[in-house]
Amino acid sequence: MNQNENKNAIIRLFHVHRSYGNKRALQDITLDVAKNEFIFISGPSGAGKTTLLKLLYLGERVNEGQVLVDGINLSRINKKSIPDLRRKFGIIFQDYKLISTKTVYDNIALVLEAVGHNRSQIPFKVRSVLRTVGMEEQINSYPPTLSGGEQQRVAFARAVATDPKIILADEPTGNLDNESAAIIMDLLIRFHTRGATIIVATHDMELIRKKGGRVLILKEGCIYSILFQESPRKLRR
Amino acid sequence: MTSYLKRAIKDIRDNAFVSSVTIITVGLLVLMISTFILFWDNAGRIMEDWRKGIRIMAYLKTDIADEAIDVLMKKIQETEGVNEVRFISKQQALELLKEHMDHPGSILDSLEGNPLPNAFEIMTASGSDDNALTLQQVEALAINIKTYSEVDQVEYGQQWLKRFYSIFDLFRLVGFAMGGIFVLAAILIIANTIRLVIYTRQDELQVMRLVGAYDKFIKIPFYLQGVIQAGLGSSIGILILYAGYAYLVSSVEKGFLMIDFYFLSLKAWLFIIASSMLLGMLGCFLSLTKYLKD
Repeated sequence: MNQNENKNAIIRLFHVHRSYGNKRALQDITLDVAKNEFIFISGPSGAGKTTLLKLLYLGERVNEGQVLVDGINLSRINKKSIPDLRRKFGIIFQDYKLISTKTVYDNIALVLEAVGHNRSQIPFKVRSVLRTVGMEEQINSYPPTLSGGEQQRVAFARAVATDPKIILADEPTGNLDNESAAIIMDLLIRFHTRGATIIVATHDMELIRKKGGRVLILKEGCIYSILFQESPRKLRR
Repeated sequence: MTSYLKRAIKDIRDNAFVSSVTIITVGLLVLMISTFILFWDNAGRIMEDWRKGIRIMAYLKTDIADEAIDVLMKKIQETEGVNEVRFISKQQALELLKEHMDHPGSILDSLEGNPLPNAFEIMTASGSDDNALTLQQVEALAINIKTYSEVDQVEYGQQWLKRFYSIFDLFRLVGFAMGGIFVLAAILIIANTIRLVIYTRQDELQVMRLVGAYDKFIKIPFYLQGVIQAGLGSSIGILILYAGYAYLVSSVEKGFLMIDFYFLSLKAWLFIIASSMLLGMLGCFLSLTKYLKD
Protein backbone atom coordinates (compact mmCIF):
# COMPACT_ATOMS: atom_id res chain seq x y z
CA MET A 1 0.00 0.00 0.00
CA ASN A 2 1.50 3.28 -1.04
CA GLN A 3 1.13 5.69 1.83
CA ASN A 4 1.90 8.69 -0.34
CA GLU A 5 -1.24 8.31 -2.40
CA ASN A 6 -3.28 10.55 -0.15
CA LYS A 7 -1.30 12.51 2.40
CA ASN A 8 -4.45 14.18 3.70
CA ALA A 9 -6.06 10.88 4.70
CA ILE A 10 -6.23 10.11 8.42
CA ILE A 11 -7.90 6.75 7.81
CA ARG A 12 -7.15 4.40 4.95
CA LEU A 13 -8.69 1.03 4.24
CA PHE A 14 -7.25 -1.07 1.46
CA HIS A 15 -9.07 -4.17 0.18
CA VAL A 16 -10.33 -5.01 3.63
CA HIS A 17 -12.13 -8.29 4.24
CA ARG A 18 -13.73 -9.42 7.47
CA SER A 19 -15.80 -12.55 8.00
CA TYR A 20 -17.30 -14.49 10.89
CA GLY A 21 -16.96 -18.15 10.05
CA ASN A 22 -18.60 -18.54 6.67
CA LYS A 23 -20.48 -15.26 6.91
CA ARG A 24 -18.76 -12.37 5.18
CA ALA A 25 -19.27 -9.12 7.09
CA LEU A 26 -17.10 -6.90 4.89
CA GLN A 27 -15.74 -7.56 1.44
CA ASP A 28 -13.03 -5.70 -0.41
CA ILE A 29 -13.52 -2.32 1.23
CA THR A 30 -11.16 0.39 0.04
CA LEU A 31 -11.70 3.86 1.47
CA ASP A 32 -9.82 7.01 2.44
CA VAL A 33 -11.15 9.41 5.06
CA ALA A 34 -9.52 12.82 5.01
CA LYS A 35 -8.50 14.76 8.08
CA ASN A 36 -11.43 16.81 9.40
CA GLU A 37 -13.87 15.07 7.05
CA PHE A 38 -17.45 14.38 8.16
CA ILE A 39 -18.46 11.10 6.59
CA PHE A 40 -21.53 8.95 6.96
CA ILE A 41 -21.53 5.19 6.65
CA SER A 42 -24.99 4.03 5.80
CA GLY A 43 -26.86 0.95 4.75
CA PRO A 44 -29.41 -1.50 6.09
CA SER A 45 -28.98 -3.49 9.28
CA GLY A 46 -26.29 -6.15 8.93
CA ALA A 47 -24.59 -4.27 6.09
CA GLY A 48 -21.31 -4.10 8.05
CA LYS A 49 -21.38 -0.52 9.39
CA THR A 50 -20.50 -1.41 12.98
CA THR A 51 -17.89 -3.94 11.87
CA LEU A 52 -16.22 -1.27 9.77
CA LEU A 53 -16.01 1.08 12.77
CA LYS A 54 -14.69 -1.71 15.02
CA LEU A 55 -11.85 -2.42 12.60
CA LEU A 56 -10.63 1.15 13.05
CA TYR A 57 -10.13 0.99 16.82
CA LEU A 58 -9.16 -2.68 16.78
CA GLY A 59 -12.37 -3.83 18.37
CA GLU A 60 -11.91 -6.44 15.68
CA ARG A 61 -9.16 -7.32 13.23
CA VAL A 62 -9.25 -7.67 9.47
CA ASN A 63 -8.96 -11.09 7.86
CA GLU A 64 -7.40 -9.61 4.73
CA GLY A 65 -6.30 -6.17 3.61
CA GLN A 66 -4.85 -3.30 5.56
CA VAL A 67 -6.08 -0.46 7.71
CA LEU A 68 -4.05 2.67 8.44
CA VAL A 69 -5.06 5.11 11.16
CA ASP A 70 -3.08 8.35 11.41
CA GLY A 71 -0.15 6.61 9.75
CA ILE A 72 -0.26 3.48 11.94
CA ASN A 73 -0.64 0.19 10.10
CA LEU A 74 -3.04 -1.79 12.30
CA SER A 75 -1.82 -5.12 10.92
CA ARG A 76 1.60 -4.45 12.42
CA ILE A 77 0.61 -2.82 15.68
CA ASN A 78 1.79 -4.58 18.84
CA LYS A 79 -0.54 -5.21 21.77
CA LYS A 80 1.08 -2.60 23.99
CA SER A 81 0.42 0.16 21.45
CA ILE A 82 -3.31 -0.56 21.13
CA PRO A 83 -4.27 1.83 23.99
CA ASP A 84 -2.32 4.62 22.27
CA LEU A 85 -4.22 3.94 19.05
CA ARG A 86 -7.56 4.02 20.87
CA ARG A 87 -6.75 7.37 22.43
CA LYS A 88 -7.01 8.88 18.97
CA PHE A 89 -10.72 8.01 18.99
CA GLY A 90 -13.78 9.20 20.81
CA ILE A 91 -16.42 6.53 20.43
CA ILE A 92 -20.18 7.00 20.78
CA PHE A 93 -22.39 3.93 20.92
CA GLN A 94 -26.08 3.48 20.27
CA ASP A 95 -26.49 1.96 23.75
CA TYR A 96 -24.33 4.71 25.36
CA LYS A 97 -22.22 2.25 27.39
CA LEU A 98 -22.27 4.42 30.48
CA ILE A 99 -21.32 2.82 33.81
CA SER A 100 -24.58 2.68 35.72
CA THR A 101 -22.97 2.45 39.18
CA LYS A 102 -21.00 5.66 38.65
CA THR A 103 -22.25 9.23 38.55
CA VAL A 104 -22.10 11.34 35.39
CA TYR A 105 -19.01 13.02 36.84
CA ASP A 106 -17.29 9.70 37.60
CA ASN A 107 -18.10 8.29 34.17
CA ILE A 108 -16.17 11.11 32.52
CA ALA A 109 -13.48 11.50 35.18
CA LEU A 110 -12.62 7.80 34.89
CA VAL A 111 -11.91 8.19 31.18
CA LEU A 112 -9.73 11.24 31.76
CA GLU A 113 -7.88 9.42 34.50
CA ALA A 114 -7.48 6.37 32.25
CA VAL A 115 -5.74 8.38 29.55
CA GLY A 116 -3.42 10.04 32.08
CA HIS A 117 -5.02 13.48 32.15
CA ASN A 118 -3.59 15.87 34.74
CA ARG A 119 -5.39 14.86 37.93
CA SER A 120 -5.87 18.35 39.29
CA GLN A 121 -7.45 19.48 36.03
CA ILE A 122 -9.99 16.66 35.83
CA PRO A 123 -12.83 18.37 37.79
CA PHE A 124 -12.57 21.48 35.58
CA LYS A 125 -12.39 19.44 32.40
CA VAL A 126 -15.43 17.35 33.37
CA ARG A 127 -17.48 20.46 34.16
CA SER A 128 -16.36 22.14 30.96
CA VAL A 129 -17.28 19.24 28.71
CA LEU A 130 -20.61 18.73 30.47
CA ARG A 131 -21.36 22.42 29.99
CA THR A 132 -20.68 21.99 26.27
CA VAL A 133 -23.31 19.27 25.99
CA GLY A 134 -25.70 21.05 28.36
CA MET A 135 -25.53 18.44 31.10
CA GLU A 136 -23.69 20.29 33.86
CA GLU A 137 -26.68 20.25 36.18
CA GLN A 138 -26.85 16.45 36.07
CA ILE A 139 -23.21 16.06 37.11
CA ASN A 140 -24.08 14.03 40.22
CA SER A 141 -26.86 11.96 38.65
CA TYR A 142 -26.57 8.29 37.86
CA PRO A 143 -27.12 7.30 34.21
CA PRO A 144 -30.22 5.15 34.79
CA THR A 145 -32.02 8.24 36.16
CA LEU A 146 -31.45 10.15 32.88
CA SER A 147 -33.47 10.06 29.65
CA GLY A 148 -32.03 8.42 26.53
CA GLY A 149 -31.15 11.78 25.01
CA GLU A 150 -29.43 12.91 28.20
CA GLN A 151 -27.48 9.66 28.45
CA GLN A 152 -26.31 10.05 24.88
CA ARG A 153 -25.17 13.61 25.63
CA VAL A 154 -23.17 12.31 28.59
CA ALA A 155 -21.73 9.58 26.36
CA PHE A 156 -20.86 12.28 23.85
CA ALA A 157 -19.17 14.34 26.56
CA ARG A 158 -17.17 11.29 27.60
CA ALA A 159 -16.11 10.65 24.00
CA VAL A 160 -14.89 14.19 23.40
CA ALA A 161 -13.42 14.82 26.87
CA THR A 162 -10.03 13.53 25.80
CA ASP A 163 -9.96 15.79 22.70
CA PRO A 164 -9.73 12.90 20.23
CA LYS A 165 -8.66 13.39 16.63
CA ILE A 166 -11.42 11.14 15.34
CA ILE A 167 -14.97 10.71 16.59
CA LEU A 168 -16.72 7.46 15.72
CA ALA A 169 -20.46 7.44 16.27
CA ASP A 170 -22.29 4.15 15.85
CA GLU A 171 -26.01 4.86 15.34
CA PRO A 172 -25.77 7.76 17.80
CA THR A 173 -29.39 8.77 17.30
CA GLY A 174 -30.80 5.27 16.92
CA ASN A 175 -32.60 5.29 20.27
CA LEU A 176 -33.47 8.99 20.41
CA ASP A 177 -36.44 11.17 19.61
CA ASN A 178 -36.08 13.85 16.92
CA GLU A 179 -35.23 16.64 19.32
CA SER A 180 -32.50 14.68 21.09
CA ALA A 181 -31.18 13.44 17.74
CA ALA A 182 -30.90 17.04 16.54
CA ILE A 183 -28.94 18.00 19.66
CA ILE A 184 -26.49 15.14 19.13
CA MET A 185 -26.07 16.08 15.46
CA ASP A 186 -25.42 19.69 16.41
CA LEU A 187 -22.75 18.56 18.84
CA LEU A 188 -21.10 16.41 16.18
CA ILE A 189 -21.09 19.35 13.78
CA ARG A 190 -19.65 21.63 16.45
CA PHE A 191 -16.74 19.27 17.09
CA HIS A 192 -16.25 18.85 13.36
CA THR A 193 -15.80 22.61 13.00
CA ARG A 194 -13.22 22.42 15.81
CA GLY A 195 -11.11 20.12 13.65
CA ALA A 196 -12.15 16.58 14.51
CA THR A 197 -12.70 13.90 11.87
CA ILE A 198 -16.20 12.51 12.25
CA ILE A 199 -17.43 9.11 11.09
CA VAL A 200 -21.09 8.40 11.72
CA ALA A 201 -22.63 5.01 11.05
CA THR A 202 -26.36 5.40 10.61
CA HIS A 203 -29.25 4.09 8.59
CA ASP A 204 -31.19 7.32 9.24
CA MET A 205 -31.29 8.97 5.80
CA GLU A 206 -33.09 12.01 7.22
CA LEU A 207 -30.05 12.70 9.41
CA ILE A 208 -27.76 12.44 6.38
CA ARG A 209 -29.97 14.75 4.32
CA LYS A 210 -29.94 17.38 7.06
CA LYS A 211 -26.17 17.41 7.47
CA GLY A 212 -24.95 16.52 3.99
CA GLY A 213 -21.47 15.35 3.11
CA ARG A 214 -19.88 12.18 1.77
CA VAL A 215 -21.90 9.02 2.32
CA LEU A 216 -20.53 5.50 2.01
CA ILE A 217 -23.37 3.08 1.46
CA LEU A 218 -22.75 -0.52 2.38
CA LYS A 219 -24.85 -3.46 1.33
CA GLU A 220 -24.16 -7.02 2.42
CA GLY A 221 -20.63 -6.09 3.40
CA CYS A 222 -19.70 -4.45 0.09
CA ILE A 223 -19.50 -0.81 -0.94
CA TYR A 224 -22.75 -0.26 -2.78
CA SER A 225 -22.02 3.36 -3.62
CA ILE A 226 -20.24 6.48 -2.43
CA LEU A 227 -22.23 9.62 -2.95
CA PHE A 228 -22.08 13.22 -1.91
CA GLN A 229 -25.16 14.65 -0.28
CA GLU A 230 -25.43 18.41 -0.59
CA SER A 231 -26.32 20.04 2.69
CA PRO A 232 -29.77 21.70 2.82
CA ARG A 233 -28.06 25.06 3.23
CA LYS A 234 -26.11 24.61 -0.02
CA LEU A 235 -29.16 23.30 -1.78
CA ARG A 236 -31.15 26.37 -0.76
CA ARG A 237 -28.36 28.60 -2.03
CA MET B 1 -0.08 3.84 43.89
CA THR B 2 -2.15 6.05 46.20
CA SER B 3 -4.50 6.92 43.36
CA TYR B 4 -4.90 3.22 42.50
CA LEU B 5 -5.66 2.50 46.16
CA LYS B 6 -8.21 5.31 46.28
CA ARG B 7 -9.84 3.97 43.13
CA ALA B 8 -9.87 0.45 44.55
CA ILE B 9 -11.58 1.63 47.75
CA LYS B 10 -14.05 3.74 45.77
CA ASP B 11 -14.82 0.78 43.50
CA ILE B 12 -15.47 -1.41 46.54
CA ARG B 13 -17.91 1.20 47.84
CA ASP B 14 -19.54 1.73 44.43
CA ASN B 15 -20.05 -2.02 44.06
CA ALA B 16 -21.07 -2.56 47.66
CA PHE B 17 -23.26 -5.60 47.06
CA VAL B 18 -20.78 -7.62 44.99
CA SER B 19 -17.95 -6.55 47.31
CA SER B 20 -19.93 -7.74 50.33
CA VAL B 21 -20.58 -11.09 48.66
CA THR B 22 -16.84 -11.48 47.99
CA ILE B 23 -15.87 -10.51 51.54
CA ILE B 24 -18.47 -12.86 53.07
CA THR B 25 -17.39 -15.71 50.78
CA VAL B 26 -13.75 -15.27 51.73
CA GLY B 27 -14.75 -14.93 55.40
CA LEU B 28 -16.68 -18.21 55.33
CA LEU B 29 -13.86 -20.02 53.56
CA VAL B 30 -11.29 -18.76 56.02
CA LEU B 31 -13.59 -19.67 58.91
CA MET B 32 -13.90 -23.19 57.52
CA ILE B 33 -10.18 -23.61 56.90
CA SER B 34 -9.03 -22.06 60.17
CA THR B 35 -11.57 -24.13 62.12
CA PHE B 36 -10.00 -27.18 60.55
CA ILE B 37 -6.48 -25.90 61.29
CA LEU B 38 -7.49 -25.17 64.90
CA PHE B 39 -8.93 -28.65 65.35
CA TRP B 40 -5.95 -30.24 63.67
CA ASP B 41 -3.48 -28.20 65.68
CA ASN B 42 -5.11 -29.07 69.00
CA ALA B 43 -5.60 -32.73 68.11
CA GLY B 44 -1.95 -32.90 67.04
CA ARG B 45 -0.89 -31.29 70.29
CA ILE B 46 -2.90 -33.82 72.31
CA MET B 47 -1.37 -36.70 70.38
CA GLU B 48 2.09 -35.25 70.89
CA ASP B 49 1.37 -35.13 74.62
CA TRP B 50 0.47 -38.76 74.53
CA ARG B 51 3.77 -39.49 72.86
CA LYS B 52 5.60 -37.76 75.66
CA GLY B 53 8.00 -39.95 77.54
CA ILE B 54 7.43 -43.41 76.08
CA ARG B 55 8.51 -45.78 78.83
CA ILE B 56 10.66 -48.86 78.33
CA MET B 57 10.77 -51.42 81.11
CA ALA B 58 13.94 -53.51 81.23
CA TYR B 59 13.55 -56.51 83.57
CA LEU B 60 16.83 -57.82 84.95
CA LYS B 61 17.93 -61.38 85.47
CA THR B 62 18.09 -62.62 89.02
CA ASP B 63 21.31 -62.68 90.99
CA ILE B 64 22.89 -59.61 89.41
CA ALA B 65 25.30 -57.88 91.74
CA ASP B 66 24.49 -54.36 92.87
CA GLU B 67 27.73 -53.01 91.32
CA ALA B 68 26.78 -54.50 87.97
CA ILE B 69 23.34 -52.92 88.24
CA ASP B 70 24.93 -49.50 88.88
CA VAL B 71 27.28 -49.86 85.89
CA LEU B 72 24.41 -50.94 83.63
CA MET B 73 22.23 -48.07 84.82
CA LYS B 74 24.99 -45.62 83.97
CA LYS B 75 25.44 -47.16 80.52
CA ILE B 76 21.73 -46.94 79.75
CA GLN B 77 21.58 -43.39 81.11
CA GLU B 78 24.27 -42.35 78.63
CA THR B 79 22.49 -43.89 75.65
CA GLU B 80 21.13 -41.39 73.11
CA GLY B 81 17.39 -40.82 73.34
CA VAL B 82 17.19 -41.74 77.03
CA ASN B 83 15.96 -39.03 79.34
CA GLU B 84 15.89 -40.73 82.68
CA VAL B 85 16.54 -44.17 84.14
CA ARG B 86 15.04 -45.28 87.42
CA PHE B 87 15.90 -48.51 89.18
CA ILE B 88 12.91 -50.35 90.62
CA SER B 89 13.96 -53.09 92.99
CA LYS B 90 11.87 -56.25 93.26
CA GLN B 91 10.59 -55.11 96.69
CA GLN B 92 9.52 -51.73 95.33
CA ALA B 93 7.83 -53.51 92.44
CA LEU B 94 5.89 -55.72 94.84
CA GLU B 95 4.79 -52.74 96.90
CA LEU B 96 3.69 -50.91 93.76
CA LEU B 97 1.75 -53.96 92.69
CA LYS B 98 0.03 -54.12 96.09
CA GLU B 99 -0.88 -50.45 95.81
CA HIS B 100 -2.49 -50.95 92.43
CA MET B 101 -4.49 -54.03 93.30
CA ASP B 102 -7.88 -53.60 94.94
CA HIS B 103 -7.70 -56.78 97.00
CA PRO B 104 -4.02 -57.76 96.97
CA GLY B 105 -4.08 -59.81 100.17
CA SER B 106 -5.55 -63.06 98.97
CA ILE B 107 -3.28 -63.59 95.92
CA LEU B 108 -0.04 -62.02 97.07
CA ASP B 109 -0.15 -63.62 100.50
CA SER B 110 -0.26 -67.04 98.89
CA LEU B 111 3.05 -66.40 97.07
CA GLU B 112 6.24 -67.84 98.41
CA GLY B 113 8.82 -65.05 98.37
CA ASN B 114 8.87 -62.27 95.77
CA PRO B 115 8.51 -63.50 92.17
CA LEU B 116 9.04 -60.05 90.63
CA PRO B 117 12.40 -59.15 89.08
CA ASN B 118 14.53 -56.02 89.54
CA ALA B 119 13.90 -53.59 86.71
CA PHE B 120 14.86 -50.31 85.09
CA GLU B 121 12.18 -47.82 84.11
CA ILE B 122 13.65 -45.94 81.15
CA MET B 123 11.99 -42.68 80.03
CA THR B 124 12.75 -41.77 76.42
CA ALA B 125 13.11 -38.22 75.07
CA SER B 126 9.68 -36.57 75.28
CA GLY B 127 7.42 -35.55 72.41
CA SER B 128 7.92 -31.85 72.99
CA ASP B 129 11.69 -32.24 72.61
CA ASP B 130 13.32 -31.85 69.23
CA ASN B 131 15.02 -35.23 69.73
CA ALA B 132 11.73 -37.07 70.49
CA LEU B 133 12.01 -40.67 69.37
CA THR B 134 10.08 -42.21 66.53
CA LEU B 135 8.60 -45.67 66.88
CA GLN B 136 11.54 -47.16 64.99
CA GLN B 137 14.01 -45.42 67.29
CA VAL B 138 12.16 -46.68 70.39
CA GLU B 139 12.29 -50.19 68.94
CA ALA B 140 16.01 -49.87 68.20
CA LEU B 141 16.66 -48.58 71.72
CA ALA B 142 14.74 -51.52 73.22
CA ILE B 143 16.72 -54.00 71.12
CA ASN B 144 19.95 -52.31 72.17
CA ILE B 145 19.04 -52.58 75.85
CA LYS B 146 18.04 -56.20 75.37
CA THR B 147 21.61 -57.00 74.20
CA TYR B 148 22.99 -56.41 77.68
CA SER B 149 23.63 -59.75 79.36
CA GLU B 150 22.06 -58.57 82.62
CA VAL B 151 18.74 -57.82 80.94
CA ASP B 152 16.20 -60.59 80.76
CA GLN B 153 13.22 -58.95 79.06
CA VAL B 154 12.30 -55.57 77.57
CA GLU B 155 8.78 -54.19 77.25
CA TYR B 156 7.52 -50.93 75.83
CA GLY B 157 3.88 -51.53 74.85
CA GLN B 158 4.83 -52.57 71.30
CA GLN B 159 1.33 -53.36 70.06
CA TRP B 160 -0.28 -50.26 71.51
CA LEU B 161 2.51 -48.01 70.24
CA LYS B 162 2.33 -49.40 66.73
CA ARG B 163 -1.41 -48.80 66.61
CA PHE B 164 -1.03 -45.31 68.07
CA TYR B 165 1.66 -44.31 65.57
CA SER B 166 -0.31 -45.64 62.61
CA ILE B 167 -3.35 -43.62 63.78
CA PHE B 168 -1.12 -40.58 64.21
CA ASP B 169 0.34 -40.99 60.71
CA LEU B 170 -3.13 -41.44 59.22
CA PHE B 171 -4.32 -38.36 61.08
CA ARG B 172 -1.47 -36.33 59.61
CA LEU B 173 -2.04 -37.67 56.11
CA VAL B 174 -5.77 -36.93 56.25
CA GLY B 175 -4.97 -33.49 57.66
CA PHE B 176 -2.64 -32.63 54.81
CA ALA B 177 -5.04 -34.01 52.19
CA MET B 178 -8.01 -32.10 53.61
CA GLY B 179 -5.93 -28.96 54.02
CA GLY B 180 -4.89 -29.24 50.36
CA ILE B 181 -8.50 -29.73 49.25
CA PHE B 182 -9.64 -26.75 51.32
CA VAL B 183 -6.93 -24.51 49.87
CA LEU B 184 -7.72 -25.63 46.32
CA ALA B 185 -11.42 -25.01 46.92
CA ALA B 186 -10.57 -21.59 48.34
CA ILE B 187 -8.55 -20.65 45.23
CA LEU B 188 -11.35 -21.78 42.91
CA ILE B 189 -14.11 -20.08 44.89
CA ILE B 190 -12.17 -16.82 45.19
CA ALA B 191 -11.23 -16.90 41.50
CA ASN B 192 -14.87 -17.54 40.55
CA THR B 193 -16.17 -14.83 42.88
CA ILE B 194 -13.76 -12.37 41.31
CA ARG B 195 -14.82 -13.57 37.89
CA LEU B 196 -18.37 -12.77 38.93
CA VAL B 197 -17.22 -9.30 39.99
CA ILE B 198 -15.51 -8.81 36.65
CA TYR B 199 -18.60 -10.07 34.86
CA THR B 200 -20.81 -7.55 36.65
CA ARG B 201 -18.33 -4.80 35.78
CA GLN B 202 -17.57 -5.81 32.23
CA ASP B 203 -19.16 -2.63 30.83
CA GLU B 204 -16.72 -0.58 32.87
CA LEU B 205 -13.77 -2.71 31.77
CA GLN B 206 -14.90 -2.48 28.16
CA VAL B 207 -15.19 1.31 28.35
CA MET B 208 -11.74 1.60 29.90
CA ARG B 209 -10.23 -0.54 27.19
CA LEU B 210 -12.00 1.36 24.42
CA VAL B 211 -10.83 4.75 25.63
CA GLY B 212 -7.25 3.53 25.65
CA ALA B 213 -6.53 2.73 29.30
CA TYR B 214 -3.32 0.78 29.75
CA ASP B 215 -3.66 -2.70 31.22
CA LYS B 216 -2.01 -1.66 34.48
CA PHE B 217 -4.60 1.09 34.95
CA ILE B 218 -7.31 -1.56 34.73
CA LYS B 219 -5.52 -4.35 36.58
CA ILE B 220 -3.89 -2.70 39.58
CA PRO B 221 -7.11 -1.44 41.24
CA PHE B 222 -8.63 -4.91 40.70
CA TYR B 223 -5.61 -6.56 42.34
CA LEU B 224 -5.84 -4.11 45.23
CA GLN B 225 -9.55 -4.80 45.57
CA GLY B 226 -8.84 -8.53 45.62
CA VAL B 227 -6.22 -8.01 48.33
CA ILE B 228 -8.42 -5.68 50.41
CA GLN B 229 -11.50 -7.88 50.15
CA ALA B 230 -9.56 -11.05 50.94
CA GLY B 231 -7.81 -9.31 53.86
CA LEU B 232 -11.12 -8.07 55.27
CA GLY B 233 -12.88 -11.39 54.68
CA SER B 234 -10.11 -13.45 56.28
CA SER B 235 -9.90 -11.11 59.29
CA ILE B 236 -13.65 -11.42 59.79
CA GLY B 237 -13.43 -15.22 59.45
CA ILE B 238 -10.70 -15.44 62.09
CA LEU B 239 -12.51 -13.07 64.44
CA ILE B 240 -15.67 -15.19 64.21
CA LEU B 241 -13.59 -18.29 64.91
CA TYR B 242 -11.99 -16.59 67.89
CA ALA B 243 -15.40 -15.57 69.24
CA GLY B 244 -16.63 -19.16 68.83
CA TYR B 245 -13.50 -20.54 70.46
CA ALA B 246 -13.72 -18.11 73.40
CA TYR B 247 -17.39 -19.02 73.91
CA LEU B 248 -16.67 -22.75 73.79
CA VAL B 249 -13.71 -22.57 76.15
CA SER B 250 -15.61 -20.43 78.65
CA SER B 251 -18.66 -22.73 78.48
CA VAL B 252 -16.77 -25.98 79.08
CA GLU B 253 -15.86 -26.43 82.74
CA LYS B 254 -12.11 -26.12 83.18
CA GLY B 255 -10.46 -29.50 83.49
CA PHE B 256 -13.60 -31.31 82.36
CA LEU B 257 -11.84 -32.85 79.38
CA MET B 258 -8.40 -32.95 81.10
CA ILE B 259 -7.06 -31.20 78.02
CA ASP B 260 -5.81 -27.67 77.47
CA PHE B 261 -7.05 -26.05 74.25
CA TYR B 262 -5.06 -23.40 72.45
CA PHE B 263 -6.13 -20.84 69.84
CA LEU B 264 -4.11 -20.26 66.68
CA SER B 265 -0.86 -18.42 67.26
CA LEU B 266 -0.44 -14.83 66.03
CA LYS B 267 1.94 -16.21 63.44
CA ALA B 268 -0.81 -18.52 62.17
CA TRP B 269 -3.31 -15.62 62.09
CA LEU B 270 -0.97 -13.53 60.04
CA PHE B 271 -0.14 -16.45 57.79
CA ILE B 272 -3.83 -17.14 57.08
CA ILE B 273 -4.59 -13.47 56.38
CA ALA B 274 -1.50 -13.04 54.19
CA SER B 275 -2.29 -16.26 52.30
CA SER B 276 -5.88 -15.10 51.74
CA MET B 277 -4.64 -11.77 50.40
CA LEU B 278 -2.27 -13.59 48.09
CA LEU B 279 -5.11 -15.85 46.95
CA GLY B 280 -7.27 -12.78 46.34
CA MET B 281 -4.59 -11.39 44.09
CA LEU B 282 -4.09 -14.75 42.38
CA GLY B 283 -7.85 -14.99 41.78
CA CYS B 284 -7.79 -11.53 40.20
CA PHE B 285 -4.81 -12.43 38.11
CA LEU B 286 -6.45 -15.61 36.75
CA SER B 287 -9.75 -13.89 35.97
CA LEU B 288 -8.29 -10.70 34.51
CA THR B 289 -5.72 -12.51 32.41
CA LYS B 290 -8.55 -14.45 30.82
CA TYR B 291 -10.70 -11.35 30.35
CA LEU B 292 -7.97 -9.06 29.02
CA LYS B 293 -6.45 -11.65 26.72
CA ASP B 294 -8.14 -10.28 23.60
